Amino acid sequence: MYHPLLTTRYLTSRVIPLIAVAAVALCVALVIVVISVMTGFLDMVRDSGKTLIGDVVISYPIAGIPYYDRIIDRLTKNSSVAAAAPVVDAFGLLQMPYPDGPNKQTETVQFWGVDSRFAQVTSFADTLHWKVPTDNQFLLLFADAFRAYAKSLPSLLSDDQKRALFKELRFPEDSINRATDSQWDAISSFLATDPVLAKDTLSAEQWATFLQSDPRMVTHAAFADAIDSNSSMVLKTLGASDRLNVFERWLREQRPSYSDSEVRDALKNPPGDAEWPAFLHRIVFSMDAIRPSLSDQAWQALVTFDARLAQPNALVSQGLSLTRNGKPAADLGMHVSEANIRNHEGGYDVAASDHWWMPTWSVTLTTLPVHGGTLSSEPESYIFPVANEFMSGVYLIDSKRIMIPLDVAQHMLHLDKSTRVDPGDPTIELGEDPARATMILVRAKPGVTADELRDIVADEYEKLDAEISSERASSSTYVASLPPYFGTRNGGGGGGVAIQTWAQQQAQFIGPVENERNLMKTLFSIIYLVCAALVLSIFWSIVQEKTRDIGILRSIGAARSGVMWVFLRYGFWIGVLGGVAGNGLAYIVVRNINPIHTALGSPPVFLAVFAAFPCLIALFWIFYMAKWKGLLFLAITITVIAAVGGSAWLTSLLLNFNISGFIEENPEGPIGISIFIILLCALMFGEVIPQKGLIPSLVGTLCFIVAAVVSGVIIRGHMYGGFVMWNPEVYYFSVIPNSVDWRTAWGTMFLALAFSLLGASIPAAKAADTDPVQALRYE
Amino acid sequence: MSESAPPTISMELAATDLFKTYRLGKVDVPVLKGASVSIRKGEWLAILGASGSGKSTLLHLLGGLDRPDTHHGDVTYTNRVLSEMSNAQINDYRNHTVGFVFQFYHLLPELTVLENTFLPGLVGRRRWWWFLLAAAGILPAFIYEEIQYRVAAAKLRARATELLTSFGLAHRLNHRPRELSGGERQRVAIARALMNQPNILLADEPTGNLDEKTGSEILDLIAEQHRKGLTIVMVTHDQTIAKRADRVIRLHDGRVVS
Repeated sequence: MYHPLLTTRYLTSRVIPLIAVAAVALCVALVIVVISVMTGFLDMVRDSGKTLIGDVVISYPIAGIPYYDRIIDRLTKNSSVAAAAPVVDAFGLLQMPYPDGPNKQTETVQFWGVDSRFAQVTSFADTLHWKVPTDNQFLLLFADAFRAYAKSLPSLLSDDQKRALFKELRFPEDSINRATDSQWDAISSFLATDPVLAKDTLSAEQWATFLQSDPRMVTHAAFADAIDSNSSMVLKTLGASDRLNVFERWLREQRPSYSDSEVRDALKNPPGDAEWPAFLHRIVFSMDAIRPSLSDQAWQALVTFDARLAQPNALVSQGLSLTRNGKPAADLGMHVSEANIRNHEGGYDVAASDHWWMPTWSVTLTTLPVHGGTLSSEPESYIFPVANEFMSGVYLIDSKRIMIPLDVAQHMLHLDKSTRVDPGDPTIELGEDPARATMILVRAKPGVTADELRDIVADEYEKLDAEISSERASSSTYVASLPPYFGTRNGGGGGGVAIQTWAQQQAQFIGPVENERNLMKTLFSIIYLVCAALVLSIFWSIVQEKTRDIGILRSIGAARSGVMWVFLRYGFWIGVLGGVAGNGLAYIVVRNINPIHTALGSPPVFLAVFAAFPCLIALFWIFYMAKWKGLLFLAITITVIAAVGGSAWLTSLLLNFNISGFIEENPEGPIGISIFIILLCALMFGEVIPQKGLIPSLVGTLCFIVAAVVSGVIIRGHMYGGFVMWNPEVYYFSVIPNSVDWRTAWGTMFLALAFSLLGASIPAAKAADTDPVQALRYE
Repeated sequence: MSESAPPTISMELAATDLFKTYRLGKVDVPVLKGASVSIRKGEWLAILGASGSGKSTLLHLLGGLDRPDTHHGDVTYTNRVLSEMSNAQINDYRNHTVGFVFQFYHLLPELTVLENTFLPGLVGRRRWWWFLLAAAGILPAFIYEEIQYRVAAAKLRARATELLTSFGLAHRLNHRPRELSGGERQRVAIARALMNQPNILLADEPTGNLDEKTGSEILDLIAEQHRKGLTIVMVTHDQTIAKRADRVIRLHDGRVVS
């Protein structure tokens, strides 16, 4: 019964247990962080495989699989298959439109010819980067575009339009023909901030011409047109609660500076029924305010009224259909201009304010088709406008892949439908050679595993193979044959078709990562032993120190087991507290691992200031704790270090020895030497410093040097670049996985607890074994 | 025969022919060489001896903190032989039957005065169901202990406060031992020894570390407990202090000489 009291008191009134808790916490956090990142990495590799290629892939590179539509038909009729899509993949050269001048940049790329079915199999749609701008982005885009457009305003506007504008802006009406530049500037700035007024001012043709200057505005403009031309219908559809929703959303979107209470105040005075037509016109571009405020019913009613509303995502749909203005276009993984640049980390840097730039020019893709097993001598080139960009997060893919329409790819690679002629006499037509695809991606219905699906796909493929073989035998014209399937273990070599799950396809990525994680797990289990050793040594010293307490407890009747139990409890609590704290620390680190990594890569200055702060505290500490002699101690230490450093530098000058290179290669050397010097100083000048001040000034000096070094490293990192641990070129992904692997976390906590108890058990046994008479004998 | 036998009824604690040898490295050091002593109920016995005469060892043996050499004497407490008791019974004997007071007070530095005092009240035998709980998992055992502690501490606090107040320490209840003077610490130690209302108080040089005035105050306190009927065995090397006792025996070279 006395155990709870003693454990609590021992835990709370001393520093040593806190150190033990900190040690356990750090061990736990270390394990959780490393395993979480590794597990997250593994999951990302797996997920990326799944989202980029579906569950099962039928592939027959270069020559391609004929009758792929028949295969897909067959497969989609199967109840286990959700969708299937043909892909033509090959390698090519992509010429970029920059830099200006004749030497354009050229990249080696892997191009995939896909059609609309591709997005049904993979999550391609989610990876598209150009999406409809938000209302606020639209306003910015509009302002930019309008300022450019407004240069021609004086010549474009009719007198009536000018007069209306001048009236609106309270300029003298008679000045319309001799308006100054500054007046026109004011007009264009005014219109640039107000799309509704601009639209009202311009004629329909002028508005349409203006909109073409930036396709990103099209969606909002179409939406505004639809709402405007159906405003009475829209207002009828909008119920009272819908209207209030619209109003509130509009307030929150457009008045971001409003506090909650201001919004609530404004909500007390919503526009009345009579004011709504005017109000709706004012907010007609606020797609984000109107669309989500409506009930599904109301929205359906509106969409049936105006089909323009049903296509709110023109940019995404152009990316999915791989067309731009009706022409075949490409989706690029790599960056397409110097304005929106995929940075080294694989992220996206947008140069112009906060919205991406949409290029108007095209890229040229060149490839050498391979047909019938021979490389064609005639390269095929095709010019594509850019329909969209995609960012899958897999660096390897984003930096190397472009998507083009399936039919264009087939044409470029000579895999399209053609007429088969007799090789001996080209005038004899044998029949039709069908179009081919090099891959067919298949996605499973929920509940069907990839392995099950592979068997189903293989089965269907073989059935179709048999069917086509019999057609070949009976048909008088040419019928192409399917490449044979040699079984699940065939990787596509030896002339057969490969039918593989995503995991098999990605095996060369997944395998090493899995191995690496298991290796890490094994290596890091040593940490638990470290944990146990730490607790053991700390507890050993605690028991040593508590010998007298043990004697006292025994003298008042405590049993050996009771004394042992006190220390086991103590170890238990250190394990629990350390585990929980470590878990918390790991959670914070893992969740913020990307900002931390960025900060390490280019540390912001304020971190250096933060690090310099402890420097000052340490100085103050030395001064306060050890008074002047502590400062003397610090001065001596620094002088000695400086003297050694200086003489080393001189020596390096004299002997032509590259000392900085040496230090960079052997950083532990100078650190060890410094610590040695400090310790030496502490011993030598221990006489100078009063006994009481020695430890504080030593601690202070060490803190000072550590803080100074940290702050120096941060400043150096800020100036010349710091550590980059996660190189996306090595790890495939542009971001570090940041989800905590809770199974590992709980496991680690439990093991830390178990090993804390293990570490505590030996000192606890020693405590139980302590002879009370010996323990009480001496003061 | 029966007339010559010692009147065992009135003998509360008796030691017969005790031998105790300590091993220091490779050398056997005999400390007690056949010491016998008997203490009557309600008696204040002083054991006088020079340092190294084995008086502390004798006290430890009487208190069950140590055991005599095997087959070399016994300590008997009201007809029960200590060496025949189980570990649990010896622990219970130290907890309930005797109370120790040491020269160096021996208070737990992390606990307050109040907690130090009621600590012996918390020490008790585990009930059988505790082991069931511990087998079910470490957490139920902890929760059970925690509840048990809170329930017990409430009662014990009252008794400890009462004791300390009667010793004039009412204003010191929540202080740590290091904040107390020597005399105050020894009073806390006596209060702790009396916490479980023992039959015998075993005091090892209770005034050895105190000045004369404080020392006599402590002895007054012990004398008061003696008046209330407590049996007291006090070890000292100081003749003047020994005079306060009812009876004085001398220990010399591991044997009782008078």
